[in-house]
Amino acid sequence: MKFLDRMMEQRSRELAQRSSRRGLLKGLGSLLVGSAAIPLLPVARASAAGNPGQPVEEGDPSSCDYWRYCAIDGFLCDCCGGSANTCPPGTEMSPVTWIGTCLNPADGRNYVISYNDCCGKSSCGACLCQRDEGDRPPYRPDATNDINWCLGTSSAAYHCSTAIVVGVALEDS
Amino acid sequence: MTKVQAAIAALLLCSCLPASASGTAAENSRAYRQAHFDYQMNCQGCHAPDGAGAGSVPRMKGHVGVFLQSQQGREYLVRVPGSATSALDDTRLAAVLNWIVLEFSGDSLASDFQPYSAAEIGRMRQQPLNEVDDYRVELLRTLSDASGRNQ
Amino acid sequence: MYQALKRWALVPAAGLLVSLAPTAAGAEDRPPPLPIEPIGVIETLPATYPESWFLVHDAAFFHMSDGKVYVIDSAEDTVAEQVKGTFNVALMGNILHSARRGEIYAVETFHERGTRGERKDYLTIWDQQSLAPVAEVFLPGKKRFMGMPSRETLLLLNDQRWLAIANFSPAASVTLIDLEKREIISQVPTPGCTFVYPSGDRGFSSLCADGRFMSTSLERDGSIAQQVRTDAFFSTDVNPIFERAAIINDTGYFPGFDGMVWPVDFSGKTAKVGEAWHLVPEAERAERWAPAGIGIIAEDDLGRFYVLMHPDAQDGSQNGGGPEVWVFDPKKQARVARIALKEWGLSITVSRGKEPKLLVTNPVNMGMELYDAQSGDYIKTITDIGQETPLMLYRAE
Repeated sequence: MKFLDRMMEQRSRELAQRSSRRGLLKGLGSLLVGSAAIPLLPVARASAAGNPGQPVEEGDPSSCDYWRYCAIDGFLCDCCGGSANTCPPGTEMSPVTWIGTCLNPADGRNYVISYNDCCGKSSCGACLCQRDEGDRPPYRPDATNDINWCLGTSSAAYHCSTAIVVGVALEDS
Repeated sequence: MTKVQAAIAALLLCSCLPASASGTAAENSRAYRQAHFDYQMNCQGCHAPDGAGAGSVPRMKGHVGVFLQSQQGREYLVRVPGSATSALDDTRLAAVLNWIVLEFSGDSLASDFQPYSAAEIGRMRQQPLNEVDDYRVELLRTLSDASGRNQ
Repeated sequence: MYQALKRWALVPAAGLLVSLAPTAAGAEDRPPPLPIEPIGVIETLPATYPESWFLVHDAAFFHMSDGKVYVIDSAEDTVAEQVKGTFNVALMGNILHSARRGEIYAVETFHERGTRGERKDYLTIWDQQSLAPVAEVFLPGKKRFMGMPSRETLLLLNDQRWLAIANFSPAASVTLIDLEKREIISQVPTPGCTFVYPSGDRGFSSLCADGRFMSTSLERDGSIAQQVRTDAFFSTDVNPIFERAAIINDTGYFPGFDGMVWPVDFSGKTAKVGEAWHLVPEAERAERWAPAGIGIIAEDDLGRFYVLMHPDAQDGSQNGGGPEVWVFDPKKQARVARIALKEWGLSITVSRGKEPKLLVTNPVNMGMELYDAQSGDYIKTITDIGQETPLMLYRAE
């Protein structure tokens, strides 16, 4: 089940990174091995080394690990016919959403990320990710990914999530 | 930074930072970016990047200035829950409200706008509105009656 | 799998009958024929669900308009006996069971053409014996709270005569339902404050973006008597609490991301926040244990509450679940048991009665492990009942 693959990929990576309690990895089984084999593909942006003066970002927009997905919870539109910042054909992008910041390791800047959902079709089903950095419960709606953000769209059916760079965060705020 | 942005930044600075009647260009720029960032992080998700709103979220673009025509309207912008109960402190809330008014009002704002101060915000936000929709409708009706134009 | 095995088992027997029948001496030597069976019999469930029963809310994350609740008996050992029935809850709905009223309330959303066409929200009232919908109340405004399954969006109040439904449009409000008349009483704005927790006999409290409660008390006709905002008691940025609480004798226990727990007295009209205490014993704090998951907390009838815990907590780990369930005695403000789970846990609930059982959804294969809630002993795994994403679990009331 893809859900589990992705969920476990995320969970097992976190565990592998931060836990010395090997017992926790019991039960994750081959998923852990599988996830370790997933290569990180460069995105289309110029690499830092090759093109000085060009903006840079690196990583695979179809992987939960991609830097701008630091607080995403749902299916990656990149795996559904859209991209990290566009919706798949025939869906509707919700104008109402929530906003967070993620660190782009390629340039060391924090960016303001708008997590607009794409709506109007049933769950995309591919590339389910759950990352919750900076996520808050729904009593802080401006900072929560637990709400179905297909608000302000004609259909409340959730399809997938984008992560759109809408600004550069201030360094010390 | 455009001229308009610089003007807004100057206003933001003199309203929110004590003893800095006219900031340097760098300070102005910093104040503007801080207010814009705070708007993005706390407001933009629902109110949209340009204040246009969506669905049940009221439109601020080209409209929000009308509330500054009365003291009650001025308080309304602070007492709405998105402002009053936001995680921003008084100084930054004042700055972001001034930024919203100056950035989104268009010709709905009278020329004698007095920016919000942190102290003013601190007082007004103590009483968040509970029945916002009713209050807003009544407020706009009053403003409309007073100005003789349809708000 | 189980069904398939049963079918295969019949094949040799059937072959035997066919081969033997022609050579049998006479009809009188065979056993009497099977009785003729009536067509159209539909099962029903008991007026009181046994303590071993649970409601498993499968939000169907991969096809949300087809969400489903399984009514299961955890005391049984085969799928055929575990599954008592199901009902649907469309598009990330939520449920609440009232044993006293013999009804299960489900708030759900439909579009005229499945995923498109006009959106309509309903409160659907399911009879707990027939598991059939006996009434529905149209919820106008396309605004009911829709998100990850939550126990905090529905609340029975006024001696279970009313139901409060949390809305988020993104304006926050509450729709009040008269369950006797099965109609809407009123719409109550709760600006900046979300969810519904009990408050007094005829009121509710909501959690606000600035770290306080707003308590609403209602008149007999459902109109607002007063709305009071308490003092802020936490920072939603710095030390946020979970919106999910255990409620024991009118006191809510709200765990924080940081491992503290806030007791909140809901017995009066206005929520009263008490002193927070630490869930993690001092000697273990270096391991950075903290709550995490979806259904992270539950209470039992012995006055204890249960929290799903994980070590090495950090920003972003708060929804991921954990490897242990810790049991607390709130009177002693102390942990009384530590249950190491057989599989990683994502959501928990505890059955009612004097011999509580703990049921835990595991995200590894989306099965559910059952434990003795007092000894912590693993009892069994319940799976293959057709569930896909059982994200929220409820005890049968």
